[in-house]
Amino acid sequence: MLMELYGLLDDFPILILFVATIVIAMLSYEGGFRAGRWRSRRPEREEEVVVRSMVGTMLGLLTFILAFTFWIAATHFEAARQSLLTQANAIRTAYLRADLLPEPHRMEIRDLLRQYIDVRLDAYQSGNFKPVFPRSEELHSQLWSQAIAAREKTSSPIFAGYFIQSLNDVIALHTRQVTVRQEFRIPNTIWVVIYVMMTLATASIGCHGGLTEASRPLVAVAFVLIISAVMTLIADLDRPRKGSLRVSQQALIDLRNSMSAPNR
Amino acid sequence: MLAFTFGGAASHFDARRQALLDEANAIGTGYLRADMLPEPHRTEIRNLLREYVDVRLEGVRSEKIEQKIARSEELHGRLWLQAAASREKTPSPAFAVQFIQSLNEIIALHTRRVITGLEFRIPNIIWIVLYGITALTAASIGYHSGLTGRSRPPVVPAFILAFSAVILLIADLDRPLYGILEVSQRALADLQRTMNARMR
Repeated sequence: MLMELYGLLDDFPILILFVATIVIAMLSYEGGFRAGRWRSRRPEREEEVVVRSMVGTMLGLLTFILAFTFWIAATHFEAARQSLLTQANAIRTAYLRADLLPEPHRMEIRDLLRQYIDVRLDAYQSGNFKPVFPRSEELHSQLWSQAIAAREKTSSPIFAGYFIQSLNDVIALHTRQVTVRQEFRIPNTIWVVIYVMMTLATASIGCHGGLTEASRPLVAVAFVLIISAVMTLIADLDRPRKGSLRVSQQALIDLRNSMSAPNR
Repeated sequence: MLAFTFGGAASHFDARRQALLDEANAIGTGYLRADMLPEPHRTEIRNLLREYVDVRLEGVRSEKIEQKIARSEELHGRLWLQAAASREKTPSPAFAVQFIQSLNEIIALHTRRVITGLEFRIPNIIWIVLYGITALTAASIGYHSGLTGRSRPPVVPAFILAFSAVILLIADLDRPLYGILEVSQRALADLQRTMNARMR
């Protein structure tokens, strides 16, 4: 159920999200403004100072929450980048250590590792990540049975041990990649609260404007734009696979190029 | 104050996610490395590890957390006995050592999950202060408007809603098990599936 929600949000193009956020903010500002103007025509008027201090507090709260959420999203983005780099290194180590194994397992394992990278790069290029998970699992178990077979044949089990260690790393890092990408996201509750707070804060600013002035100040537009831009940036950072901010796959591409070079 | 508490709760939430991921990886590695041990220990260890994952998943879903923790610790003991026994029998102790290494990691991560899950919470004193500050702020704003104006400004409900939403969010992030926000167990569930597939 949660997964579906994430998927739904991910299919939303970032530009539409930006426009939708602006529209929501504008509407709530307008609503607040009208409410404020209506109140100001009544005989028992409120003091403007009180409203101003409340609006100030709400804005402060909104700013802090946005800042922390931005920080969370940036941390996740960094984690996605880091885990890709670690994965590329683990695969490279395993590829090199395959040298320590007897033939034909060496060739077989290298071939499997090459396929392993291709699956990932293809998915990144086509944008279809569905086949990556089952295919990787399949390759893991093929690699593992090769490693076990090689271990039984080899004269120096220490070397096989080295390879097995780095194969375990490769598998563990796959799980990390999958989890970081799919689960290390900003929870839905945080999104709901941010949007609710943004709506309430812009409505209150509008209300304050309605109480004191006759027309809408131009600064309101700038304010709405800034808040929407920050929220969109958070959403963009939060989806490492899509949007304008994507994790670069250069480490994997370089690795793949060095692998296809002829052996020796 | 609210914002910092939010930051703290959010990083605890992340710590729980991280611990779960590391645990799934350690169990997966241990399961694979059991391949290098002689029979009958191999099968025995794999059965124990499968049960371990089941216990972990059930522990989060049911309310009998204490019981599941006790069961996990019992399984650690049995796994350790198997590892020690197989080390004496195996021709290549280097492999047994690799298994023992990942078993140690599993046990260490159990401790980390218990600590991050049950003890990385916002202390009660912070909750008290948080509610105290919120009440005082709301009261002084009310006092202020009572002094100056004759009616309540329309911003008041918005102000109260915004504060309450943030407090709700913090409380939800802080609850390890029964909130709307739950740490997803996907990594462990995937592992369970892979283990069962490899069985067949």
